[in-house]
Amino acid sequence: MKTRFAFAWVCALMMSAATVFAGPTLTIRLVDASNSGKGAGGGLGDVAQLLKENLPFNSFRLLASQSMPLPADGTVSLAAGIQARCSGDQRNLHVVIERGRKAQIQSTVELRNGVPLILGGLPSDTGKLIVILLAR
Amino acid sequence: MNKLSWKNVTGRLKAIEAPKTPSDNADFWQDFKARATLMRQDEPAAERPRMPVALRWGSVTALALVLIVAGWFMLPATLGAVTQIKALEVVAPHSGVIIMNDQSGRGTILWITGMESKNSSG
Repeated sequence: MKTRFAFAWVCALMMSAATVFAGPTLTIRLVDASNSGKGAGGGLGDVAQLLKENLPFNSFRLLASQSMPLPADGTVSLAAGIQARCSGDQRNLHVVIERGRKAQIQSTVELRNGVPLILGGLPSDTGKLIVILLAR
Repeated sequence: MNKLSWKNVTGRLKAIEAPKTPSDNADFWQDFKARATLMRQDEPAAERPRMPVALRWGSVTALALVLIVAGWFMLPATLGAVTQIKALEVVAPHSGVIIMNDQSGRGTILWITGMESKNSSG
């Protein structure tokens, strides 16, 4: 009986550890920043303060969110014709932001766990588009 | 059972020597110590209830998990890590680039100014 309990706990511990130490995931969010309205919408809780304090906009609205495992190698379609093409690992991640299949921004970055990178300035109908990259 | 006459009873009682009362302090304490050695002075410690094995394993596992998860989430903050931008090329027409590292280490902002509007960029 004791052995069975011990085995069960060891399995649970290993599964939990595997979950925690599983490869990081890259989350890519597209946000519409404007001055029409106020506050940050759902899905932006972790970056709302950062956006509000550093950018001259009152309203932040999440348009799309996609994720991919790291090392990355693929393209995700977000919204408003924006696509993000990512390749490489977390320490050397190559990101291309495209609009209508035309590259707009190309960058190579090193992302830290849980520290977002905000790429902004793409024009939108009401303000600017922001791409948030987060590895975790 | 033998019946004793009252006379016999009183006679026997008189024959029994009355317990000696301690005469002075030294006698008292000697007597006290002698009696004290015959009795246990400390209470035997109550047996501690043992935690079931499953619960013990559970608590150790939970503690380990809490430490792992806490360490995982604390890592960026403890390292004071900031995202590094190793290379940047803005293909679309623009007027400038601003890179801001949030003072509290919450993130990095790369802002491109003067990008042409959606319609004019085709």
